[in-house]
Amino acid sequence: MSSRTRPRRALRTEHTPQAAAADADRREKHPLVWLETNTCHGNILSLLNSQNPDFGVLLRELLDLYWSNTLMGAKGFKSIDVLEKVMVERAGEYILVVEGTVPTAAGGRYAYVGLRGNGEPWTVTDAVVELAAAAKHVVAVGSCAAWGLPFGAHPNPTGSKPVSAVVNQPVINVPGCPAHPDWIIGTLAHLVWYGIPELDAENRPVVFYGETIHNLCQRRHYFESGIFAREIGEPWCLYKIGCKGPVTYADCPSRQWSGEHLNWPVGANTPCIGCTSPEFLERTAPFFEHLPDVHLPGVRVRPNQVGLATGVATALGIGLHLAGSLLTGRLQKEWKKGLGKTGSKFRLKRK
Amino acid sequence: MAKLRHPLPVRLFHWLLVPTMLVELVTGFQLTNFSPRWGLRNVSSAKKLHFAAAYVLTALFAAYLYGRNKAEIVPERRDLGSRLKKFLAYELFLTPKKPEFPKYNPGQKLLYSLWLVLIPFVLLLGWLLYFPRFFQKWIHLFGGLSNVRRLIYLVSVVLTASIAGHVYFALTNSVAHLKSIFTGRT
Repeated sequence: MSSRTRPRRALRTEHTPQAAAADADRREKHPLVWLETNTCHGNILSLLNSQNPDFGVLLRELLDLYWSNTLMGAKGFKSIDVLEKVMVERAGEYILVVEGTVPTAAGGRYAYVGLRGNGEPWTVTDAVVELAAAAKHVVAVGSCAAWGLPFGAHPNPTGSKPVSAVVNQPVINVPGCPAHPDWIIGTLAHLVWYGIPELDAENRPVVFYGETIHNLCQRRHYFESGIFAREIGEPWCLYKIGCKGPVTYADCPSRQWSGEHLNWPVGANTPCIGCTSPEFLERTAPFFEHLPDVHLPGVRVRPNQVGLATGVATALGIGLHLAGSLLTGRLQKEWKKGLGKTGSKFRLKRK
Repeated sequence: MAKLRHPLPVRLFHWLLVPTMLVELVTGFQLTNFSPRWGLRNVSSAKKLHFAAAYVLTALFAAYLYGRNKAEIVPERRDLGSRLKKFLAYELFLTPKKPEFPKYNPGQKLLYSLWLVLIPFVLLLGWLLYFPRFFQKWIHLFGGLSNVRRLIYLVSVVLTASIAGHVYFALTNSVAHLKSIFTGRT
């Protein structure tokens, strides 16, 4: 089966009892609200790159898109009106997708959705909380929404938080920078047809985030054989120049990017930066180093520097103590005493 | 007859621990920054040795925690006060008179207690990396896989430095005590 046909079959397979039972649900499209908060809009663009099925199929067969900051034609009160109505008229039915972090500082005044019907400004924070409370499922798409970064990176003046830290409902995380279109569509389709998919400890669907990139990597044999790239662009294992594959769960190596499933970062000779990890971005940086930096009070150092400094300090300490022991005659005395006591034939000669 | 300082189980533990720790640390640093100059042909060999040594080390430490008289190595209040002052004064060459201590001096006690904490800790972290899916929640508690990997590296650096210090003092501080780890008696 080619990778091009796989997603289409996932949408249309009707051979299992589960699928047959779910077929009734397919007749009516499920309402979807896609709310973009502090974001680069990369995830909605990633979704638009989907090919099998493409975005049009998604809208025709699966989802009824009520709101999307990027895609909708309406503006102002007309658009906000839709958002307010869906909370009431489709309460408990719609899927809320949040893309981006939620800025909570200064009462949420760092980001607004717009003016509500009553003329009051509607902060993103309030919108996320209210929309989530009436939603059937809440999905955080992209690493910003799932983990809070990079907007939530120190010093985080906007008080940006991941969606799960703001709402009371369980949140399904579909991380990635951006998330692969298959991960988004797959999760939404699963929610519509079968309910909540199996999730890992970070609330990510296991079907997409169930194995490390390292274990799926086509260059794994180079790792095992110790054949490493020294610079970006070399076609070997990128482990030593910071590839985060061993500590990142995602199926990029087998799925490939994007809608056409053509390639992925390591395939293009650049290390995985671990964008689906909860530690992304602050606790995995720098990208091209094997281990993340060590944060000491007021200073950030490389783990290798800590290793080097410890090694030098140990060598210096031992060297100085040895010199002191020799100069004061302690060492000679101790060895003379010890060897004499054991009756050894070895003796240190006196000058 | 010379006094028994290290009974056979302690010596056996010590001499099993030496090669195990050596293999664990060398292969561990190899896994962080592989180089064939260290004698291993490939990462696969380093991994196999590292994991095998981890099993042995876990078994050894479980036996150690079960059987060892921890009171001998955990510092008492005096070890952190007057005894430590005497110990430091001598080791920093402020006084020529070598102080007498019970079986272990305060420096040894602090070092062995540090290992008592660090070795099981790094073993735990290693097992988290070995079974990442099984220990997902634990890994989350430790700040994720990247952080676990970094912690293992940093703890290994501390362990390596402290082992170097231990070997140096063992070779220079007292020949009688050095002998006892081979023969049991001073």
